Amino acid sequence: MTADVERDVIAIIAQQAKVDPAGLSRTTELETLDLVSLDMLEVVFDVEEKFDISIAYNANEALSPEHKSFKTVGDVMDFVATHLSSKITVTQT
Amino acid sequence: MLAPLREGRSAIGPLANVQTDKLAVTIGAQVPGFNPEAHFDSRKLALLDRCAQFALVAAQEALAATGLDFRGELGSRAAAIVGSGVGGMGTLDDSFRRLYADGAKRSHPLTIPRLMLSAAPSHIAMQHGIRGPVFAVASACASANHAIGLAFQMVRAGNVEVAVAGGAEAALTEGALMAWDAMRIMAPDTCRPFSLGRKGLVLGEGAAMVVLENMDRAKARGAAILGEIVGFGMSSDASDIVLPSLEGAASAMRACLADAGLAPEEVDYINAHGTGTAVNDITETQAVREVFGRHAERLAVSSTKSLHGHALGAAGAIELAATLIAMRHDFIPPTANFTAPDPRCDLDYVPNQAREAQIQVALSNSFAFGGLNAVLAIRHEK
Repeated sequence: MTADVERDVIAIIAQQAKVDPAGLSRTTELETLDLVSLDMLEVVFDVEEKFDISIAYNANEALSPEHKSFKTVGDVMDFVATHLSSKITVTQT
Repeated sequence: MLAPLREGRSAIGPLANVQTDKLAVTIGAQVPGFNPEAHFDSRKLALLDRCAQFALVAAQEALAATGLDFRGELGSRAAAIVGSGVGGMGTLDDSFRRLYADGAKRSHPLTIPRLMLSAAPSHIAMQHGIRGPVFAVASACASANHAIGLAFQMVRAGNVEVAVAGGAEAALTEGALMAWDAMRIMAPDTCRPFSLGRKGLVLGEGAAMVVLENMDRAKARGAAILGEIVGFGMSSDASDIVLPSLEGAASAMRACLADAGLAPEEVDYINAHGTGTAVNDITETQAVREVFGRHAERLAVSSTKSLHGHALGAAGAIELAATLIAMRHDFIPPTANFTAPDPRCDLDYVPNQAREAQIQVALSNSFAFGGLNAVLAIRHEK
């Protein structure tokens, strides 16, 4: 993963949570940032716009206890990194 | 509407006549085979957004069945009140596409009269000569229930003799669908209210209208009476723009029962708001339990949105029509597409198959974004 992705994801989440980006790291749990459901929608939208990727995020499933994705800042970073690398692969072939 | 309701036949399917390549969710419940040219001449059609078209056709059908004539004195003692979430969305979408995407230099001159939210009640008034209170009601997904409830109050209070009321929506346009996509609450598969594995709502469209008049007046003129609206309750959550509150939903149901003079035990059936989202269905279940206590165990609660989709501002009117039809034909419409019980939704949702039963008293719930709640109580008229 590039440092750019980490920096951009942190910037998006920090802006939505109205916190100092310096206080966020991979292990920061999104729950602790007081991001309500509409905030998460905006984070997903901003990430999609920034990296030109689509995220199959369903708020209904995100609310279920067994849902695992996007618990931490690192989860969002990993998702973006995975999708960016698959985009590059597609371009190269 | 009778056969699909009784057979649990859902109108949800792949969206037709709309660009879906940018959409994550490509299903909906569209009005099948609607041909505007069959209902309106070309001169009139130019003035009508699809939303007003639906409203006019529904009002025409409802009023034709009553035999009422508004050309005389009755016209000034009659109301037309129509609920809609967004009115002429198709007109707005087309207009902006022309301007911003296609580079058009001017807007069509009929854009404003077509798109305005109140176009539908205005056209109903013009077509039928209704000259009393005429206006639109907007409370997102509770619009139709608010419209019908207000009309009910006006008739009951004697402000008007007759009211035509209901809801209309036609927002299955590319722009609107993309905006709904972005809310991440749309189901990609189908609408499964209260069921385990539900993934959200499925949008619908359409209109339904009812004609309301005082019971004595209706009986005196030998009208075909479909049912009696006996109560209306409203509340506002005053808490969140999208998340529903248990207290707000319960408060509207309580207000409706009190208005109708009904004890909770007298209610047989609730046509639930039941959108199929994770949050609504749990909150509504808890609110029903809170209001009805032990009687909740004996209540039938179903969501016909599993059949006709979520028609937003028209939903309450379509659901009132469904409830009246079920009442008159002695069955309870099912919650379709139900796969397995969700432990957090533990009422009798009449899964998948209609049930033969007499409904004496029903509630019809609408709980909208913005925390706007409106509940109607309906009694079987023998």
